[in-house]
Amino acid sequence: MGGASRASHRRGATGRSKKLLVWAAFLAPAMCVYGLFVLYPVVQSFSYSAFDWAGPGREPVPVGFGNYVEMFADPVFFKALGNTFFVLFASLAIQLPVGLMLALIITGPIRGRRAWRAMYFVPMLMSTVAIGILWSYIYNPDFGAVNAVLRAVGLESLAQGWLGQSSTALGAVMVAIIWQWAPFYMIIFAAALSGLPRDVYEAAALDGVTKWQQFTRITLPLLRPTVVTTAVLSLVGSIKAFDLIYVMTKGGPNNATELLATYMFKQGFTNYRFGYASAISIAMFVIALALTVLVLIRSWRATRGRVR
Amino acid sequence: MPAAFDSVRAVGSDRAMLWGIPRYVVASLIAVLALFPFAFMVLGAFKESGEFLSNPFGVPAAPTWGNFAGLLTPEFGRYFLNSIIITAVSVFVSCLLGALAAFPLSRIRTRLNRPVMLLFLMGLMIPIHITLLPIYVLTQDLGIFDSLAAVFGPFIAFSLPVTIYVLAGFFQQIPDSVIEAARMDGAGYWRVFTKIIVPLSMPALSTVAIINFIFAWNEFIFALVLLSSPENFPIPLGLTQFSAQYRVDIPGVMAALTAATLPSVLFFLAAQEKVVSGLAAGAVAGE
Repeated sequence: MGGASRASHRRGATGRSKKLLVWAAFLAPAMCVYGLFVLYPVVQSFSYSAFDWAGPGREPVPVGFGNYVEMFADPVFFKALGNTFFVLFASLAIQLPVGLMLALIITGPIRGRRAWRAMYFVPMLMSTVAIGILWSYIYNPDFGAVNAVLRAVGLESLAQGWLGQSSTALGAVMVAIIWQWAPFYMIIFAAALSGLPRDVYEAAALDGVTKWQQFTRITLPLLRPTVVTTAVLSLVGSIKAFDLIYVMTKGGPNNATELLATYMFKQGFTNYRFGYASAISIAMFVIALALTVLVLIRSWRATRGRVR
Repeated sequence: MPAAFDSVRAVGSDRAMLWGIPRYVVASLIAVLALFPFAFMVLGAFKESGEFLSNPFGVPAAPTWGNFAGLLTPEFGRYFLNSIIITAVSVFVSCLLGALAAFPLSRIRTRLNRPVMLLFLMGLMIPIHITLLPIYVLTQDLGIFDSLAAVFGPFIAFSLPVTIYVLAGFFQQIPDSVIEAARMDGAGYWRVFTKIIVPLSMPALSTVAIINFIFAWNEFIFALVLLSSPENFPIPLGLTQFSAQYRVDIPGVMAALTAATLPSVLFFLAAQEKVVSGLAAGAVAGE
């Protein structure tokens, strides 16, 4: 009896360290890959940004904060920053409401929900590169659809080279971004909407609440956590926006569609200024971090307030 | 009481009727906007160059397969093959590593679980661009720059956060009693993982496989940075090459775009519910 309990006691002590060993063994492969290709590069970028470096095989020259000083005096950097924030706010202000509207349609009383959903989902089936090439054709001044529609309705004077001029390029690209991503937000909102409690709506219907009141007083407040999720996704996604712009305009004309992401790429892989490009990527990282923390803190405060 | 409910429902459906017609009009308008670029592409792919310029939007008067025949070149086949290899390897390895990591994080209780989980979730917020230059240098140092092996690492690493998040959530819901019973029979952690957790988690595994498939099939920027010879290009990178090369042959490029999109369309038609719920599940990891 005593021997058995002592044995089990000993098993408890070695069991705990064995447990930790097993825990670490299961985690190790993922941790190695993740550490090597995500965490370590982040640290390395910080150190690159303190050098003037033309890439592998060249001698790095330490410049301290020189790259950051240059960045804060670089008008193109600020142009790219402004454009990035434009994409960010336009995504929040247009993409999310459009996504929600699509979700309301496909979860509402409509025949053939699956068919509507499938049709709205189509943009998600195409790769960003394919979408970029396709939309460049749509904006083409000669055979593009936008100008063709304008000519057809007699607004010939408005027909123009949408992507080729600074004044319209960013807006034109933004439309393509919204077209591409609205279905993604639709899917998230639709999943949330179909999880909302039915009885609240039945009670509201008994009280004679109008559809609009139902939406603003019940649906939106209940969707709050989903709105926070989609807002974070959209913020972070906008900072990463690259593929579509790279394919459609490469940041041009005249930096009109330059984003931090395209500018960083240009400095790194066209001009081979690894240090300066790293400084720009650090700026992207800091902005993404700050925005995510900001949104999460706000939503956390709000839910705490409500619980109280 | 049931009578009252019926009348409510009747009022509701009256209102639904009133709402019904504008609802279908709006829904149809949006459908046109959503489908138009896609239709433009598919219809364009079946037109001769001349017809495309005279009739860019209509249904082709004389549909031709010629543009698709033009795709049957070694280079275009190569893009497809590369994409298949890259996607298959990345999806398999990230599901495997993700499952291995999700198991201890959800079923072996330690104080480190929360911090490690947060470390992985941070990956969702890190802009890929901050890792581009270091990974470029790393592949040069390892001598795998401009080979398919160069993109496996970053593809897998960046799909781990969502994979681990979704799988850990699912593993957590497996009842303790099932695992206790196996432990009583003398099964170690490895047996519990392979004989119980993995077989029970097939729905979650297929969800993450879909999310990772969509990511890997469409990924562009790592391929752009880490591959330089056209024979190593996957489809997205190949498409940019193709469209630059055949700049004037727009129906030809449209056929290439259509062919590149076809696998995702078939995939979606075969597993619509799964794709939709998978994307929603993956997105929620953003919280």
